[in-house]
Amino acid sequence: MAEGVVFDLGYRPHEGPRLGRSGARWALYRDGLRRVLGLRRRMRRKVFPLVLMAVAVMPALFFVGISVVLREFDAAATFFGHAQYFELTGIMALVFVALAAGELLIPDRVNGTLAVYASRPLTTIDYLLMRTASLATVVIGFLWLPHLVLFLGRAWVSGFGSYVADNWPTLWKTLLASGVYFLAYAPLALLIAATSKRGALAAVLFLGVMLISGGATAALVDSGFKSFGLLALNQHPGYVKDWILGSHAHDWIPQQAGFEPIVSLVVILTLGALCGLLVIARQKKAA
Amino acid sequence: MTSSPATVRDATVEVTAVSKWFGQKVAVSDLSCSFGPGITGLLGPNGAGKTTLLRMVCGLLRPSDGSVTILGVDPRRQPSVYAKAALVPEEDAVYPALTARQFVRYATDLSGAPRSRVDEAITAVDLQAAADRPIAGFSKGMRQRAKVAAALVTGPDVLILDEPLNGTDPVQRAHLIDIFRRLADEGKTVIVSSHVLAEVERMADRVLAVVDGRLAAAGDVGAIRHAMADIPYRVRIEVGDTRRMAALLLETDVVSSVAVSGSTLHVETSDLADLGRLVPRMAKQVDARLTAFEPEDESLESVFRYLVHRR
Amino acid sequence: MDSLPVVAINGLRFAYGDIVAIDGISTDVPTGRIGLVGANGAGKTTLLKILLGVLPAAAGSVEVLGMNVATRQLDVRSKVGWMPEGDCLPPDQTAADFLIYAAELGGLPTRAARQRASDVLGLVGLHEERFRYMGEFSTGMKQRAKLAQAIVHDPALVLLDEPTAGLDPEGREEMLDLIVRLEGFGINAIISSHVLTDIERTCDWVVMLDGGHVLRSGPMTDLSTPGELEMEVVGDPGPVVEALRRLGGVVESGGAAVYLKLEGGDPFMLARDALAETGVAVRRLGARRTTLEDVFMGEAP
Repeated sequence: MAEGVVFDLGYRPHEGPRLGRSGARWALYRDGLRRVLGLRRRMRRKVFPLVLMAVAVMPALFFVGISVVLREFDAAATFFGHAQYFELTGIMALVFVALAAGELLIPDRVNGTLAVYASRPLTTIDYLLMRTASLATVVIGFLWLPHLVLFLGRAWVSGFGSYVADNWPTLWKTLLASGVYFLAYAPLALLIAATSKRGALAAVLFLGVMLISGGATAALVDSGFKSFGLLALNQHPGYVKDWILGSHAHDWIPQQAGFEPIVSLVVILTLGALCGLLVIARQKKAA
Repeated sequence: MTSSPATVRDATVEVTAVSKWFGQKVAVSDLSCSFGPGITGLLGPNGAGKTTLLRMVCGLLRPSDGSVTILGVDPRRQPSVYAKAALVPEEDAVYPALTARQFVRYATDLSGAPRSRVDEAITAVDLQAAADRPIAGFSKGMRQRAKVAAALVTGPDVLILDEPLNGTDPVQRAHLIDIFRRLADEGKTVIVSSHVLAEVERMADRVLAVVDGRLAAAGDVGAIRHAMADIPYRVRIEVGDTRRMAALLLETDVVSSVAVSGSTLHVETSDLADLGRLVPRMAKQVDARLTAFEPEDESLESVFRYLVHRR
Repeated sequence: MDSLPVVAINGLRFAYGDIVAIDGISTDVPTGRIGLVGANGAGKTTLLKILLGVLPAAAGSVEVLGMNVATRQLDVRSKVGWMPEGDCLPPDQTAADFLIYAAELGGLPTRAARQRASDVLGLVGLHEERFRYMGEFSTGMKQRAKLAQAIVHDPALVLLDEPTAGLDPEGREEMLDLIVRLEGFGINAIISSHVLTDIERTCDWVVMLDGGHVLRSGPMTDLSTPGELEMEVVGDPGPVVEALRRLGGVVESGGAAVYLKLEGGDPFMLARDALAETGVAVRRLGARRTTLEDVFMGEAP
């Protein structure tokens, strides 16, 4: 006898595990990474971050390549030390943060997607923390990656084991410095993004504030108004970085104004905390 | 124009064999109809040509073929007739910082109408009490009224309202419908385009349905349904002893089909009146209790559904 | 009410600054599909936001699915979905992508999320369009996507705010059909809408708000007047009315409709007999029903 069966294609409720708040946070974090890197979006969004990252890592690869080819390594002769590298990547981080902050906070607000989060196990603080974490991962990642490459390249050329043993603090120091750059730039960028409707506008505003603060304070400090050295927002991270790495890559304005590097660090942290609180307040209102 | 439910005798707006295409896409195709004093409902699925037709009636778009005249004049040839037809658009084109009175006055100045119209318009929409409050604080219904007032300042004979009841609650809706009714009674041609068919059914004197760019139906809703002779009426009958009733009904030729479901009969018939005469008699005959006799597809919603799915 | 209420509100109060939006509400909302109606500004959206914990109650307590919103806000949100009135879909993501994300945000593991997203998109009729960017969607498609994101994490309750806004009649039909099917999925629904006919069609229970108070909260069937009948006939109702009166009925006419009451008897038998006797054709007959609109208008200021 012939046989047949029909399956019920009706609604299947979800019987499996539910990850609650931690699952939600993790999803938010991954979404943040994707937004910042332009993944799973239209092609043009991927271009900028990838180009930026490539440019950041390129010199490191280049110099490592040269060293390997020449089979020798002379620290003094190397054109680009760790400290100097930050001069290049620092600026790229600035631009990147300007754009990425907007991408993380503005579309959700403007498109109304915050309403979707409102019916999920997430608080406003969860949202901001995860968005910041995504930004931190990418920014600190691409700030630090060239240093890792440089370090490994030099280690290879100079007898791996001994180089690493002598120089491994460079690794955590450069990581720390990367973190300082992030803390110096991200909070303000996020604050501006939390209050703007257009990403491009937010980016321009942020870059404007950072660059002008550098230029204006230079002039003021030169004229004798030393305390304005504290307002050189784009100078503080570099100054702290030099302090951490024990180098002198640049004549920093706060330094010229007579401030110790610890003061710069304090300014960064205080400003960061202030911006953080304001972002929380602003975001709660938007929800 | 030959007489048909699509046209009216005292027409203020005449649409004659109008077509409109945008490149390859034909939005409106050989459509003829007319509008006159009273409230006419204009219906149609999204993207079916309804909005395009409205824009052509206002003179905002030129027909690719055919002609539109308002009071006998082509609005694109004689711009002064613009003043005779006013569009109240769906979008909120109001300036929130202005008060209602300022907004209406602005509209008056823009169109060159006399300032005396401002008070007339505000009174016509019952906004006198709130006239000097900023529109930003207005409810949705009041905003709609402000938009209507702004449209009234040129003293138009034709008022076209695109989704005027969107987002309004029942009280605001009743108020707005009252205003439309009043304007229609004064002899104005009020054309209302809306998706909320239950409302259109209540306020419109006649309806025009546009489907796929063509006029699918026109006239009184009941008459339109009746004209769909190929689609039998569906009636729900609640009666005790359903099976005996079903049997009796099937013995006649009034019904074309009977479906039994618990104590309910779903019946299809081409002659609603005949069925209405027979059912009480049959119920009495078998001594069954008749608790419901409800035509299920006479409403504008059902009629519309048939129109859309017919082609 | 035989099962636990889906929402239990007690002495709830909320104000936006000076404006009291909700002024002391206490009511229990049963399982099933519940309509929430009221004038603009009567507190509907405020109430929905309080159920989600987006707005904190100024006074009183709210329990959703047996959990106190104030203390277990995040647990409540794991089990509740929301279909907001305004836009909430990112235009630069595909429907499938966004639905998976929405499911993960609701706490589902990625594999299950992928499955659910696909299932739910099929359910709402967006299966073919699921790989298109939502920025290209029509209003109807967007509304369906919004509903999809509200149910993708398999909530026990969804809050729908004006679900048929902007839809053409066909779109409205489809959306209402979907909403009616929710019960079969084990999902309760609270539907806030201005379109009373939508509520009449889909809901078994109605909560009516006015000026921050509950005007009434009860089953839809409560709206019919027991023991009273209304009907319309073809042609002149005169002969039928006369017959009804002669047979002892109390007749009231309103426009085309005839209302009939019978003391100590069955008005339906009376109507049947009168119609059969006079040979008049009935157009419409049924228990006298007040529509939601009648109630609304009667009670509104």
